[in-house]
Amino acid sequence: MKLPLFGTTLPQLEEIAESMGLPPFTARQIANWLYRKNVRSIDAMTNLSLASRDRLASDYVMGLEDPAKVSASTDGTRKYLYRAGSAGNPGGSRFVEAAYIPEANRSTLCLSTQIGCKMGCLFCMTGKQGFQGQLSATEILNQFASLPEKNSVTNLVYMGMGEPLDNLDPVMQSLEILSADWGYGMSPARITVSTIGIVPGIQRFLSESGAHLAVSMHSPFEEERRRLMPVQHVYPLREVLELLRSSDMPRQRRVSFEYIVFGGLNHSPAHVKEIARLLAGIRSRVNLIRFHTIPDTPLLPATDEQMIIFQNRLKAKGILTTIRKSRGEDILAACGLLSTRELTSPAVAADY
Amino acid sequence: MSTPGHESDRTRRHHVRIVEQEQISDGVYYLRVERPFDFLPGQCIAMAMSQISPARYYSLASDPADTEIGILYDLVPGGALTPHLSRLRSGESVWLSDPFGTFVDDEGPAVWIATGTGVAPFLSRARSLAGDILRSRKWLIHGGRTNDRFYFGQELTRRMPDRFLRCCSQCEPSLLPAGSTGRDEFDPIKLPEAGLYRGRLTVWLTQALAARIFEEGSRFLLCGSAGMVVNVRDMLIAAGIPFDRILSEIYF
Repeated sequence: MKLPLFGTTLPQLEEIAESMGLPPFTARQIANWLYRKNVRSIDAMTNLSLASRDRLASDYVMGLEDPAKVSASTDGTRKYLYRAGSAGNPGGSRFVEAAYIPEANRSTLCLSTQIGCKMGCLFCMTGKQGFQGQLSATEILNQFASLPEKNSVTNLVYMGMGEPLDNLDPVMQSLEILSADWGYGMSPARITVSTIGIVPGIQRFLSESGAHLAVSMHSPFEEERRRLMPVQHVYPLREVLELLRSSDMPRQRRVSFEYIVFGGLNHSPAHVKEIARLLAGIRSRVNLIRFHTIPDTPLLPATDEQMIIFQNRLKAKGILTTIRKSRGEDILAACGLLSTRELTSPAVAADY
Repeated sequence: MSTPGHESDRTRRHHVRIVEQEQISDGVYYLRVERPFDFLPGQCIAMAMSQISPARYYSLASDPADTEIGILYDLVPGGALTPHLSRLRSGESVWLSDPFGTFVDDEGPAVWIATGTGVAPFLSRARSLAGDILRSRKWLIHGGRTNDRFYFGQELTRRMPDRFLRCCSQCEPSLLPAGSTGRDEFDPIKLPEAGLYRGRLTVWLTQALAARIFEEGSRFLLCGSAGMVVNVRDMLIAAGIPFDRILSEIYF
């Protein structure tokens, strides 16, 4: 099977060039074609000799794939469906979704990193489809590179399907390609990686990437968070906070805590007090997110009034708090709603 | 010897000697090592081949009172740990972190639901309860595709008679009684013969919840594949079980 060129790093391209007997400078030329000139075929790399292109094409493909489907929201959000995971799943069909969210002065692309998710959060539609596979760096970046609106994207957020730090190597590789001078050359300040709080992954992310970090909190209380997010059994929030508190954090790196507000559950004065206590000493902000209800959930959305009261109470404690605007809810592109469950054929029969 | 609970340091690694390793089913191994710490049933450890190599997490399967620790694991082809781990023999060694995690059962009634090697924390708990398990009001429902996926099934049957059920979604035809359709009917009065239900765990559980066979106020502890955990959790919530009585453990 031919391997993809797109999604490889410069050192990997140098190895490829060497193994194929191509001149060393070819690697940087290929990177330039892949990530700056955005060509979609090896044949279009016209400053490589024809012989070099033929040799490359004998073992490699570009690895780019156009979206299979697009859904458009009335608010301008577009949800793209991409085929993925075919390498480890011959004959099966697997897909991921990416959400393009245009605003007045910025446009954000929300990327997926896994097919499904293992984390089992109580409030998330992706979690309901279980886990069907990891995305490669090629597949993560293809959601950006093959997006029709690619040139208008100003910000990338790793907040789509899956837990990014549970697929660490491809995610770190994709971040390297996005920010390297031989890659897309994007400022890390335009990229945010979201996690439910996988401590070793955060450690590596902080040491190797300058991108912003978003941590899903959803409750400051251990027992309550455990019921919402099983990961709390393994990586309690206090360990995440200890790590952030003890890490050197450059001023340009933003740490935010994502907080879905569930009606009647996690927005009391006691929650405000505990959040303020936990976040003391961590330069951060809290993003409040409206809960987009999903089937069979025991959780309720908070009202607008509850959201605003909660926001004001957090602000009164000195915590920079925003309410994130919901986008793309009508096409199931909003936070927590991405799912390709209906489109994903299982690799093996269920054991339950 | 370190103690369980909040003093745990998962970055600390204990160099431990392997007592024995056994392949108990196709691609499934049971590793026994010296016990360097105390732990609670339901806790897990990070295990690695060396102090600096990548670690993977496993629930402990043994009785905390044993002098050895038991770890039940799936061989992951191409994985960073298990292909190497599965080749180790008695006398060789691995590195374990302190135990950690809060997927811990209490003294009340509980329904433990597992698939595959997700049975490990419940095996540990059943072993720790020993003879007390008969009056401890615990159930264990274990799902698997085929008959060879019910690890330590005989031991659990002996420990939890009438409270341990194996749900086999694809029993081999040769193991079915003559004339069987390969699917058992639900019986609210007694478990199927030999504690083996030929059908899906979710099918049996749906009927068991409708028939209210579990004690009022039971907690439900789920451990296994992400698909099972979210699917069963949805079923429990739909059946009216408050979500604060559902405890889920995930694999990753």
